[in-house]
Amino acid sequence: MGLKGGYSVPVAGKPAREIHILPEPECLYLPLFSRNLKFNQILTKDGEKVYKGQVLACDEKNYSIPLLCPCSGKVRVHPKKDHIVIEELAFSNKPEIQSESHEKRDRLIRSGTWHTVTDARSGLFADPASDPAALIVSMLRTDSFVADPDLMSEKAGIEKTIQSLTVLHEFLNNCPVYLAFRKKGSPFIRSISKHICNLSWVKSVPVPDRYPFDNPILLSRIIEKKAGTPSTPLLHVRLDDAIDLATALQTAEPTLSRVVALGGSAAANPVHVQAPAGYPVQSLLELCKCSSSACVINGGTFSGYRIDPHDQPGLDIECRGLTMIHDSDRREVLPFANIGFSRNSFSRSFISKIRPFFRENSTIALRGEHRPCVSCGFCEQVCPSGLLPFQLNAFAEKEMLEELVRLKIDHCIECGLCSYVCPSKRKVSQDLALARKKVKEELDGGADL
Amino acid sequence: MIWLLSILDRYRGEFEPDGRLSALYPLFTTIEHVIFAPAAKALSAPFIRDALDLKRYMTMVIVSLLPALAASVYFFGLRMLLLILVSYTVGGLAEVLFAIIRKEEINEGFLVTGLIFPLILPPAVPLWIAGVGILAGVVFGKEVFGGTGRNIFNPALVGRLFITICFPAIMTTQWRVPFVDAVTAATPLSLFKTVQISTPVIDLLLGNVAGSAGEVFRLGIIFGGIFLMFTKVSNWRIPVFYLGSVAVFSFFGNMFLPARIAPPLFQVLAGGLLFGAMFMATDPVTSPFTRIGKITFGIACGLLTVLIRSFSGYVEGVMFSIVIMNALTPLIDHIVLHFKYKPVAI
Repeated sequence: MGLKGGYSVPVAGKPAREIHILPEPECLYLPLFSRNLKFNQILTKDGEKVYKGQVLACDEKNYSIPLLCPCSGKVRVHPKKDHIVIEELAFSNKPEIQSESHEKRDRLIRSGTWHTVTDARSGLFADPASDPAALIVSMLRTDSFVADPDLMSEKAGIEKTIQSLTVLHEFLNNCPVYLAFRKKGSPFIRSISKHICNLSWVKSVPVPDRYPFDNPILLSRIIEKKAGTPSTPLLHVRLDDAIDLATALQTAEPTLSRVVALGGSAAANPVHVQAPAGYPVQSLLELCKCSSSACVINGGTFSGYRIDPHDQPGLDIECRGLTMIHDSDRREVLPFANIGFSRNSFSRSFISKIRPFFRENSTIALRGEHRPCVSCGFCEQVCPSGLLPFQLNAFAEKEMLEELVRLKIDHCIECGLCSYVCPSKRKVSQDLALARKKVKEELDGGADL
Repeated sequence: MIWLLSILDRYRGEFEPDGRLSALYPLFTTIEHVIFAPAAKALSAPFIRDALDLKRYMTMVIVSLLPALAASVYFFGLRMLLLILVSYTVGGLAEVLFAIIRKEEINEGFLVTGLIFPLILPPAVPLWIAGVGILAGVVFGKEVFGGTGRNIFNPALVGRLFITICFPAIMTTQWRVPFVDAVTAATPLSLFKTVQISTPVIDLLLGNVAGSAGEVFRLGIIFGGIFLMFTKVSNWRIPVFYLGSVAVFSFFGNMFLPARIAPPLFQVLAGGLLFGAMFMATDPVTSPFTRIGKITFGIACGLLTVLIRSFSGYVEGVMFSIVIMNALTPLIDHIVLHFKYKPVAI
């Protein structure tokens, strides 16, 4: 398809493709926040006995997406009002509260998976009452330590996968489904492609296996190039979430746990686990034998944010992976003179490039000093949206906002590759995000570009 | 090496912004970061960073220059090392002074400039002239524009231009054939211009001819340049289109004016063209950043080089053509972006 840009970093510590069974926890710490959600409307109180599947809180600003109780027990609201702790857990198999409403919007919200469906053009949460023009189902995962969508679907099997896609297709008013997968696919992907050949409403979209081609905004651009520009919303969901959503719609039982990847250079035993929201982070770190001086990141190395297990003791509802990277204070001697058997680079400047199957043991070291931009052009080569990040930052510094709009700053998907690759160690991606905000405020009065 | 780190930590306080020697803080951090990797960490996404940093970037350029450097010492004696020492010392002092005044860290761009500059001078140039040249190059070519990353012209070329204008006799009479110290000799290009003698290709490649110190071993320059292009430190478009356009223009020129314009193979191999195309025209700060801009830059440099070599009083046109095109680089980029990105109504 001629898609330019993107880069997959070869890192060590990827989890194996089996799902580890987790021991039952003593209590669950449900955060009342996640990356994009804030559950400000708390519907339970201290000491209340809650049941599996009950709504504990919801986010009013985002279509009332609920926080569902993963396990029956007794509630204790944390004094800081940012966590709900569930103690005296009673493990049972069926959720004891079933949802009453048969309205389409309520069924979608109560499925427990609606927060994983995004509006592909904006990257924000999707409106459950909307009538989508198409559904993008993605089998891709390009950020290294996030759970792989086709792991769960491989466990579920081809029949279940196709059946789930059919359920969603019919539920969402027979909208076409675009299945995005890696060009160099696994046997599972190849057999799925063979099955969907017979279905007229599923179209396959092979995509290069580079970060960040799993980004919903990029996928929507690729598909709009193929199919013309629809005028109604374009929804995006991962394949494992699509299977969960279809199951929840058919059986009216919400999904309460999902596959989470635990990996990274500081994890001696990287695994995939099936974990409910609120599962204690500390026991997960012990399970994958994380070293004590590690930096724990919620999400992948590119798209995640740093968390402290003391401030967030449980998994939040949107978490798909915990990345643990070495955070040592050891300083290398003469790093620039190193031939480079243990380092890799976008620029091919190390011997490791000619050594096959090399996976780097990474740290969070900046690996260089902050320097002025030398227009080396690496950020441009690696940008998946075809932008010129260094030029955009230069214009932003000079406050030339019309030039920023002309050079299409609104196409930036904030993947972070420009910051990754910069040899002058500048915070290119962050400066670009600030410039975008400034453009939005000054030129559009807050409206979307 | 922990003992070294502990010594540095002990004296760090003196150099910190509120210590006694805080003015010399740039010098302290430079020495510290040459020996030890910086302690800075990535505190926001992306959490892992590419292993390439600017020191490594410049080290790659220096590694690709090593064949030319080794050949220059072999051909012209250990005096070359003295020239390089003078260049690094004088230029380095200027860099340190500007870094202290600006309260910024010393940038690594000078490592390459300080090595390239002696390699483009005639081998018998007096040391003090080399010192004056590098000082002019660093100050007028780079520091007055704001330092590394902000300069318009290539600093080594500005220094060489300064010497050419101030000491014209040196630049025309100090050429030597390798291994022979006391006899002045004519370079292949001036031989062609005056008496139409075409030097054999093997001599040009291996360096048995007169020329500036670094340009004679052309085989080494070609390998160094290809290494630089392979590691993606320099963009392939500029050397390929520069050398290609010189070959094409001199091919057609030689057909119509054989007495003035040299044949293509000789034209490409003679003089400082290979060195200039591989190491100086490809400087990322002073060359265009758009792909089409790079191609235009290469072709225009090639045209200017052939014109200056054949139709002007100067024997070598590479230096002037690169400096002229450096001045036009922002314009080239502006025009390419103007056509690529149409203005939008806000």
